Amino acid sequence: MDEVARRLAGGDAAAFAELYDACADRLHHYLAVRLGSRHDADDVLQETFLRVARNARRLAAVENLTAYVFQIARNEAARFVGTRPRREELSADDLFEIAADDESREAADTVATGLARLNGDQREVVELKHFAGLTFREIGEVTGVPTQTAATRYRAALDRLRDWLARQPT
Amino acid sequence: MSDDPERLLDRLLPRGAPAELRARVLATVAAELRAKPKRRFRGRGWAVAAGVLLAVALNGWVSRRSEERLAALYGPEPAPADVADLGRSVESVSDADTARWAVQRLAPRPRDADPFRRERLLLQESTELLEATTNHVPVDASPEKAGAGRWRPADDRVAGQRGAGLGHGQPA
Repeated sequence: MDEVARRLAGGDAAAFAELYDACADRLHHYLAVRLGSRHDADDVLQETFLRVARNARRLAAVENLTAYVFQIARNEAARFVGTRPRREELSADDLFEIAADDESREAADTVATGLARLNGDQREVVELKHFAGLTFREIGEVTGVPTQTAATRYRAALDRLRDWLARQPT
Repeated sequence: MSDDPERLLDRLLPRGAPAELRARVLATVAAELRAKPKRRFRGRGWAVAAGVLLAVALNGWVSRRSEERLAALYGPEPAPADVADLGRSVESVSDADTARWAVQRLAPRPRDADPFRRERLLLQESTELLEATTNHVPVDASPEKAGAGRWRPADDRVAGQRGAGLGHGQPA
């Protein structure tokens, strides 16, 4: 990513395409969960890359490009939400690519329902850890908390999910 | 179903960005990169500098105008406390007009940048005043013309005090 960051700082359009291919799917999923809408996630994803392009010169000094882009996306999502009314939780179909078998459908529905029961901070850590593939250190940079706090939130989220799953009828 | 949340989460593939979004985003980025950031930055910098200079100049002008208006409405600023004290001391040995004259001579000029100039003037003027009010030189040594005890101030600098009715040195 260092080479990509250097080329991005130089305004290389091809480097932005590489960045998009490396991060867009993860960013879009993260934004869809935060915004409660895939359509809004489209707009905010575009704003995220636009902001990265506007501040491209700063990229040469960025240590972790992935964390940086997710941080930009998080800020753009907060700016977008503003005074807009809170949207409903996304369905399992909006969140995941679901195979046709019943077991996959059941797992997706269960996870979607379980994730909706977490508080905002816990949900965010699970999304960034599991679906965005970030480390706890990167999650700390994105969310502005110490690495240990991010790890603690993740463990608390898993405990809560585990308890909830244990109470579900088999 | 397993009650291990991590295993469940690992089985799921998150839905990503729609395919058509890629072209739209990259086109927007390309347009942004084609813009000329240097000219924008320079123009913005000059505009900020010009705005700051204008603000400073306007602030100075408004302050001066405000002082002029206040002076026109309420008169000049009152004398500092030490000058007022000296004026009272002068009045106690002379009269109100002399005290007023002394205070006007000793009061600081507007926007006096030298902080010690006023103190030097104060010392000089107070010394002159003391000399003027206590010093006396016989007008004429002849006892037939002057009479005993007649005398006049030694220096023309105190002519204003004589005109203000300073009692010392006037013929009885």
